[in-house]
Amino acid sequence: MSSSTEVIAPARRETAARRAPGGRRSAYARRRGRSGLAFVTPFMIVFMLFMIVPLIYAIYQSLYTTKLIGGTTFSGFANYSTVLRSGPFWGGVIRVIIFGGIQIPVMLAIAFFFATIFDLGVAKWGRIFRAIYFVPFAVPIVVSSLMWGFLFDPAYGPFNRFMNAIGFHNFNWLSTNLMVPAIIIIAIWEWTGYNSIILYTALKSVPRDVVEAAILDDTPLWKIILRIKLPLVRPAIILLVFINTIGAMQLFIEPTILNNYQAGVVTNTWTPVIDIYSTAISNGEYQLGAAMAVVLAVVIIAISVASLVFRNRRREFT
Amino acid sequence: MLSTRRITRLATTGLAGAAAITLLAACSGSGSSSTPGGGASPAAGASSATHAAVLAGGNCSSSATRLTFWAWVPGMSRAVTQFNATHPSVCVTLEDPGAGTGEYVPLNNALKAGTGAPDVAEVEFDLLPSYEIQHYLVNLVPYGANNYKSDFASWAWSQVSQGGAVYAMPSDFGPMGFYYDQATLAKYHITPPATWAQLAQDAAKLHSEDPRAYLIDFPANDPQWLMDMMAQAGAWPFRYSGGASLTINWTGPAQEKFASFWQPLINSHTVALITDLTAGELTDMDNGSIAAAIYSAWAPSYFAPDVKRSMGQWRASALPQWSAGASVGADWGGSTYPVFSESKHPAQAAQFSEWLTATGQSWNIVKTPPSSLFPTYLPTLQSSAFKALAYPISGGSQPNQVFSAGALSIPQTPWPPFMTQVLNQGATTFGGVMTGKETLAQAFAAFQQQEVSYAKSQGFNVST
Amino acid sequence: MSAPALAPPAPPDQAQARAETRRERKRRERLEERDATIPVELYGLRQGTVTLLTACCVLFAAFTLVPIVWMIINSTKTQANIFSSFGFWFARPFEFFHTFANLFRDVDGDGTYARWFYNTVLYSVVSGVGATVLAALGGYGFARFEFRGARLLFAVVIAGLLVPITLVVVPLYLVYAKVHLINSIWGMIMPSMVTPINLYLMRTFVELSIPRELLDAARIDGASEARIFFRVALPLMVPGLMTVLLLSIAATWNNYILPLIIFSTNNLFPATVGMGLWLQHAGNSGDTNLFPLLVMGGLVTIIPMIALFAILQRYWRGGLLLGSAAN
Repeated sequence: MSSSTEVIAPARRETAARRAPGGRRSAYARRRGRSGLAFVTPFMIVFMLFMIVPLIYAIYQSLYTTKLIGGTTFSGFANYSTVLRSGPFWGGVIRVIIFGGIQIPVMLAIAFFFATIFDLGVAKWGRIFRAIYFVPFAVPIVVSSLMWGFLFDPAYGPFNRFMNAIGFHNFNWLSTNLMVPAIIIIAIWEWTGYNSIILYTALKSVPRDVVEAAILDDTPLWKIILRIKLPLVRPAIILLVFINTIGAMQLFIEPTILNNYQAGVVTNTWTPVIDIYSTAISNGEYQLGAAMAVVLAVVIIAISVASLVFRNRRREFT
Repeated sequence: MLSTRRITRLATTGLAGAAAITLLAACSGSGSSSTPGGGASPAAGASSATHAAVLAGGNCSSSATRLTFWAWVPGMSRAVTQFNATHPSVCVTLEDPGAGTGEYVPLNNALKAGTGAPDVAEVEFDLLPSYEIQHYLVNLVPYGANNYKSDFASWAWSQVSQGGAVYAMPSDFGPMGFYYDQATLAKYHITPPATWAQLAQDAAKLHSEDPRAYLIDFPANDPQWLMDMMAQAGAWPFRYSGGASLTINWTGPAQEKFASFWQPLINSHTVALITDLTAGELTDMDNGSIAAAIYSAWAPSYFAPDVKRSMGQWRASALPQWSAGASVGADWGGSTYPVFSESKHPAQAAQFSEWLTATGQSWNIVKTPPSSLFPTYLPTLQSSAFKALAYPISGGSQPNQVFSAGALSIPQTPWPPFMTQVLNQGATTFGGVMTGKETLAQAFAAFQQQEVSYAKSQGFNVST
Repeated sequence: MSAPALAPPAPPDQAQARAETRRERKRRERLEERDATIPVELYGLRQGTVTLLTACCVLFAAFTLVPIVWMIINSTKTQANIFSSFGFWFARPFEFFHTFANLFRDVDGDGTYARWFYNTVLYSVVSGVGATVLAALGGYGFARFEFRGARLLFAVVIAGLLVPITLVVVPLYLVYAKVHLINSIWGMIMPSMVTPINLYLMRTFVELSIPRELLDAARIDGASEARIFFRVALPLMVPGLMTVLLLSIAATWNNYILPLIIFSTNNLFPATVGMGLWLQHAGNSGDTNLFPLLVMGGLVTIIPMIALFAILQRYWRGGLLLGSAAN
């Protein structure tokens, strides 16, 4: 946060000074402003067409209902009422909240652990490890779910065989109770590397003199890490919590793919996005699906904002 | 510093160049060249469509009426080519958009949008009412459909009729039977059971002798299979004959009896509980972990590619019965060929559909591999040549004798007009039975509630 | 300038000059990194801590590589062996080349992997380049110009981050259905070009690396805005451009939900959707041996991305730094 404001602030003061005394912008500034508009127009046009328009259309559609008998009628908030009263939908919401609530802190802790190790240089071959840890980011989630699905496969996968070998018979990594933990493992595999690289680069930008001063003061290492470095990379952590929360709430691909390895566990309302897909695409109930998506968006916004406020208030990493 | 900039400039130009080339390619070729479906030989003059793989047609006279036809049956192009050759005034172009939802999704979109739908397309039996209720199908009676009524198995004809109208021509189907690996059965001294009670005993016996083997698989999470079995048990859960009224009953006495028969087998794990039609199940059947299956007439041609160890050992026998001496059949799947109301040439489209399904000419083609369709068309179904067909997987036995015998006694199965939702919801609701989370009866009760509420939300008058 | 009697010096071998510079550069970077890091000894750690921590790194590296190793090993097996043999060692027969060749055939009517791979490359590169262009222009515009509504527009874009994918993809599908954009490659490429993160990254990058004075100087010299952008700003933006390009390519390469919903034609699927379809169909309708193809396809899908990131690491490292530091 701090570095960018420093750069922007003087620029703003400049522009203010350049303005004509009457407060109106000079023709020069206006012409420049128009160029600016020209620069952003291509992006904004495509963005409006392919993001905003569908959004508005979705909200519009969510106010209608199409029945097999009776056709399409305006139904106001009826769809929203259905969604709000839908037990399975909210069960899915709770499930992804639990999923994210466990996965995100664990993953961030691991990522921070390794980022710190690399930053401090207290392990050998840091570059090689960093490169290896980043590999999962290059793997599409579909492919990683496929791979882990094979590994976890109840009938033929090596992990289950291993559990059988050490005495846990009929162990099923993809059973009802273990499906969420299995997906947590997969998510940690997929995202830790990416998160640790971001934290690593953030840690690297911590000013050296602050750390050196702490060392000269005989501060123990753990204090340096937790009391000095950690607070200084808070912006990066906040960004990561934000991104990861939005991702976790939209869990879709992993359970959908794993469903092919173990039937009966992932229902069509297991996560909110699965529910939306099932309702809108599989069942063809587009309008109800649109209402669901709007409700999910509100929930995501609420949770993201809440988590940001929470962090700001507590002023330290949980 | 200079060299860095040169590298970056080269990299950027290189990337830009590559992008430009790809962009040009994208614009010109509209990004597609057709890949012919499995095994189909492209007809002369096959051209690339912008969408699905075009497999036949395109080489017609300029005055011919042009029809578009969507189907995913492998080898269908042979029939289309034959039709085009013998009917020069009509030119049919075949496209294969993919099986099942691969075809239904674009089909539904096109029908909703009002343009882009084919003249004729392959639609499975259970989905016909869904198209009928939205008035997407042309009544074929004015085009002579009733002339063929007596040529078809009665179950199939009743499926395509609604009121006094006929909305599609039936093509192939899958009468069910007990399909077993005779070597495995012999190993456990079991003969194919004639009744379900006998099957339960045999299953228990086999499983007690080898806890890792099963007599059959019970795929509760395949709603279509489940419903087909319920039909045979007289426990069909829907009543619908067009219009806005429908009956849904998953919790009546017949349904409870059905559930209470299977539940003990599920509880004691005497039957396998894995999803059907998967590599896992087929592997199990091949290596003897699953000895038999309640499958249908298309089983032999379906299994063949995955079978290694048990090649030649598979036999068909009649479906087990609920009362000794009865002979009630069941059907699993099958397709029809309706004409869509968007079609600009319904007469010719009807003519094509009737040719494809109701002539010996066409059946001589589509009953052979790679299509291997099992006909609802009686002259072919009951011909001795067809009944005597041998399949490598079945050794010297003639499975079609069994399946065609069962074809004539299939009970009525009036599907509800929202089968997609039933299949989608059913897969989830019955899935819990597979993992022991709930009993079949509980799943039925839950499903009853879900379906009644869905039907009501769609505007139907629902009675139970 | 040179004495006419002497032959002009032979131009230094271009390739060799570049290669040396790269090696020198790497060495310089490594030394810089070492200098920037505070020597480990100063932290006062116990003996063996380094070993312990290195061991932790090794463990996590093993965890990271387990699925990849599994894929490599099992891409050489037949379907039966994938199921029955030990997962982490080879088994006869060795089917790698046979399976690889099958990627180019439509094995059973369910689609050809090679086609899907081509689609993936097409969508990723085109949308990646498009995204970079749009983000570069837009980021520059938002960072270095004031105009009415600038803040509002940018806020709208950033708010887009909060919107779940489905809220966009499902209605996008409905809109496409009305304008016949279903099964159009542009339907896939256009939405992929306007990810909010790209704009945010480029704007941040421009703010941090292009001083206003530079632009003002060029303006005073009488250059047009377009000229300033291409001559002054763009060369300075290259690391940011590379980051956005790479992230966009990766995002589209790995995208599953958007193509799943808007494509119903097999020929247009990217590799992700195609393989999802295969997995569903594995074992159906007389399929032959889809599982080895799945494993092989997965392997082939990830290799270009890993290579791309490895080759262009310099750029995105810097870009990520900015993304994280300037929040």
